[in-house]
Amino acid sequence: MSKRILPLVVALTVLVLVPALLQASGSGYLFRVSITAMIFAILAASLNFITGVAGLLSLGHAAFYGIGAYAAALLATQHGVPFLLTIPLAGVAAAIGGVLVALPTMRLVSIYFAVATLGTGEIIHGTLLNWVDFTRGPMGIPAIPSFKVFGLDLSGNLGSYLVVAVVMLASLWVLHRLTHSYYGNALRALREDDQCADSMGIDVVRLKGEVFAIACFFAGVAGALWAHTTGYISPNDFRFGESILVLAMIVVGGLGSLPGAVIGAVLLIVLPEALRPVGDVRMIVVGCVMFFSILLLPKGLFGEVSALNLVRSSFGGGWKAGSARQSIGWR
Amino acid sequence: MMAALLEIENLTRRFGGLLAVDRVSGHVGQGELVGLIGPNGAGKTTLFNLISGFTPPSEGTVRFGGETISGLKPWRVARRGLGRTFQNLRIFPNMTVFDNVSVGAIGAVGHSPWRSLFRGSRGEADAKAVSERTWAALERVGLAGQGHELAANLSYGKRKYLEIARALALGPRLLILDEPAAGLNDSETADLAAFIRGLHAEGMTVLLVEHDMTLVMGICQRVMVLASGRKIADGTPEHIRRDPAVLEAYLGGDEEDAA
Repeated sequence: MSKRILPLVVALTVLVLVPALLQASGSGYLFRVSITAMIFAILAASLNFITGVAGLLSLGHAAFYGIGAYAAALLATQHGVPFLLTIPLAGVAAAIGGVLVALPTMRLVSIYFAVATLGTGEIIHGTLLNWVDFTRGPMGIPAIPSFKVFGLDLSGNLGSYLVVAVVMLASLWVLHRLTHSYYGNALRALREDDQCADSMGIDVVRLKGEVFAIACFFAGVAGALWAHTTGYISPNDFRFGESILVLAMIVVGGLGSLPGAVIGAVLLIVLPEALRPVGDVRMIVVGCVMFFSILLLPKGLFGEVSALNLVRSSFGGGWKAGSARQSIGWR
Repeated sequence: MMAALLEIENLTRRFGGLLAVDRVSGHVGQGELVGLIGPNGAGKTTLFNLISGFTPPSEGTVRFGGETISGLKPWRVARRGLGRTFQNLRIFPNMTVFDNVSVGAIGAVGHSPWRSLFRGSRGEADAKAVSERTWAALERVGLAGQGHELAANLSYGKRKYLEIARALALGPRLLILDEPAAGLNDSETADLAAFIRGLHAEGMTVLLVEHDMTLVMGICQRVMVLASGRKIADGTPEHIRRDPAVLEAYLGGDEEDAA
């Protein structure tokens, strides 16, 4: 496949084909499911950057999603900031939160790091729940304005879908460039053996801080999209369960694989909705799908090796040595 | 005498009451091929870790190219031009052979998220430099044909060369090989000896840390001997072979085998 075709196919599917089908169906519910799937695709892609690519197991990702959602909701409802600004500001707020978490936990490894992120996740959730003066606590924040800017009303189903789709594609593009490059190689080396990477001249501490800042930025962006599209948020949207759901998405999709993270997110959002007709057993079916996909495909539905090969060959990411036929490095 | 590239002076490291390295001094000159040997537990690995920055010294200094490097983090030491391999093979198993070696080149060129994201002229120049350095190192060790394979699928012998290529991609001024012959049979060891000699002939300065005497005695110009944390001898292989202190440490000692 030619180098430019695949990215174009992806963009046209997300921006034209899917919204056209949704519009034709006329179902607000299907729009809602699609928007949720895209928000979780950003979340999964950002957690994949930390956990799949750089190998830092984070169990508190929903907390940064929550920081972003609250930042956007408070800025929009109390200061009337338009969504074009709340989205990046929510990302910055979450990134600052991420760096504050990463700094003290930097020296921890593997399961110890995971438990520390679990703890920080609970701290942030507890803060959202109990700092009533600032966050309104369990009452949540209602009446968050939808997407409106310069008199342009994007608050309808199609408008909201397109805003979320554009932000998702931009987020995935950034994570794609960082993952599928020599920067990504440095992160993968950190995951494989951080001491060894250290003695190859890789600044491990700086990388860990950058990874957390970048990934939490996008978790915050996802939170802002959630706040603006649902119109109401409460601390219950950002609990441990959400962190685990996002973790399940990237494991089912394939740790370290960006397309895998997106596939995992779409699957675990769409599947439970698609199974509504089967009634009470639907979550058992979802559980079975997760269980058997891991049992049969431990590397994920779209594993890292296939993902990297695909990007090198079809997204123009590879570098070719003089005589070689196959792309191997990164451009 | 050649200018000293690596100088260590009175280097000491204590772990609690244990003196792992005791006032060791020595040097490796520019372009030299030097061996560092000693029985198990002599302090070779600790000395290596003191030089590469993994362990800070209790006392003493390490100078590299005339600048003090003791106390620097390993990645800073590496960027100054110290390439190393590991005794117990530390490759990145889930990365391709090319990507493994690229990590050394990335260490030399640097890693910036902005340059990888926007890929302006500097970003492209960085990526090109990493690719070319990596490719040259792969060709040097004869693994260029296997660049796209996962490192985990390489044979044990080839993984050794993969590690050496990764260190070469850093563009080191000094290459320290930590027990490269461990686990290799006689013919593989002979090939490795020829390879190291070749590198040296091209001008590379090499410090070979070995448990095995035969490889070191066969190719090194000069040999330092550690025993119980102290340097007990420093000289040509012929001199070392006849040194009574060395014979005592290797043959007269307890359970040591000079295999």
